[in-house]
Amino acid sequence: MNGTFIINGNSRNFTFPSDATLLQVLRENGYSEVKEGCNQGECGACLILLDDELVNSCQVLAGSAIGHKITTIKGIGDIHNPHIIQDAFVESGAVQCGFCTPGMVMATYYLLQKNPMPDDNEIKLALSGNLCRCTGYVKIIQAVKLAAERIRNEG
Amino acid sequence: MPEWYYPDTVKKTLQLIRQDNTIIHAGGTFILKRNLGKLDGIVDIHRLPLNYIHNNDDYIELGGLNTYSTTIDKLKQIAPEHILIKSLFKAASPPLRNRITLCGSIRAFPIWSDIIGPLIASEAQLILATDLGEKIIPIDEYLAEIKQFKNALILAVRIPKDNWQSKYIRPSRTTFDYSAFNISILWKGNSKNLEDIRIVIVGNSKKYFHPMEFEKVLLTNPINKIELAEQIKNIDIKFGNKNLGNGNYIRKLFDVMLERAIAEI
Repeated sequence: MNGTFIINGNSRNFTFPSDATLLQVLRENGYSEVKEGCNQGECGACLILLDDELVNSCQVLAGSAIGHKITTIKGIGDIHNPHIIQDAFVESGAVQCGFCTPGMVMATYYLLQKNPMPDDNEIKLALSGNLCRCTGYVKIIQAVKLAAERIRNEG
Repeated sequence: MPEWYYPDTVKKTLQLIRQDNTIIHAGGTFILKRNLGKLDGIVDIHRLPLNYIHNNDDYIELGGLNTYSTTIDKLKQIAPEHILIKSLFKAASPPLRNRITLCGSIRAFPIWSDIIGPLIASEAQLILATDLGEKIIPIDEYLAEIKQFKNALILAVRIPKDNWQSKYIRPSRTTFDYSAFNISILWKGNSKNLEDIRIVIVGNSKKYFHPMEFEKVLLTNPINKIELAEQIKNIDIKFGNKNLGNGNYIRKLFDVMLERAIAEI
């Protein structure tokens, strides 16, 4: 089947099998910043925003997302123009192997849009669908707090 | 490979789902567990206007395409202590709650479902679109005869308004893991004067169970005079092996958790 998606503000048309997930379509078309982890919606490595809602792209059939707006982590910020959250993760040492980081940043971005001043428990709940096998989460939670503080200060 | 359809009316949807080897796509998370390549058709119903909430005098009506997240957000405005908010907030993870829909979740009714118990306990009704027109039926009737409604579409869930107090218990290995079972408890009054109580257990060998005899014991005796542990042991319920432990262990866990919950009331 064939479908057009609005990815990071650009209209892109792809051909893909009708049983493909959005994760498969994105990765096969160069969006390798969307990571493939468990493929079961448990690890959060493949998180994206679909019409501004946080979703596991491995749990979304591409056929259901045709015509919709998709934001990957590169739509938020990249190495040349990082988002405050990405800077906060680097400065806090919240990145080790880096595999879970795009998903962690997307979940943080979604959280801070809804709740600019989350407490520890709210951060833990917001990241409950993201697994990190390296850092033990302490630095990640610190990074979320740092990002929240900076975003608030920016007004 | 399946063909995708995007109907924008209920009538067209009903025509499409009558076709052989065709399934409905609502949130999509459950149907991903199937071998989709062998299907002939997938009917995506997102163009139907079913993501509403209506606050009526006697009931709250939630359109079937509300996700768990939108249900929580909307219901909080009307009934912030509702058991459905407690149960759906514990279900899955935030990104999955943004995809799982009410109609998809009810139709699929997986054994770990966090929505069925609260809806049965609340005596919720479903509004179905069928070939013979709209039909309103209690959710337990729908579940008991689910095959009969194969070609029906769940349009909405209707939840009676009432002033129940509630508890939702959901043991699992991690926050977002499937639960071994769940217990929904609604009650009115207090331990000295328990006016009414409803208990629904989901995830057992009968899929869901409503222990009416036990409820009767609670309603006809002062709670502090009841041998709770003994009464709970008499509940005729069995569990299969789960990630959390074998069936015998799960049964013991159930006994302890139910006893504690009732004691807290």
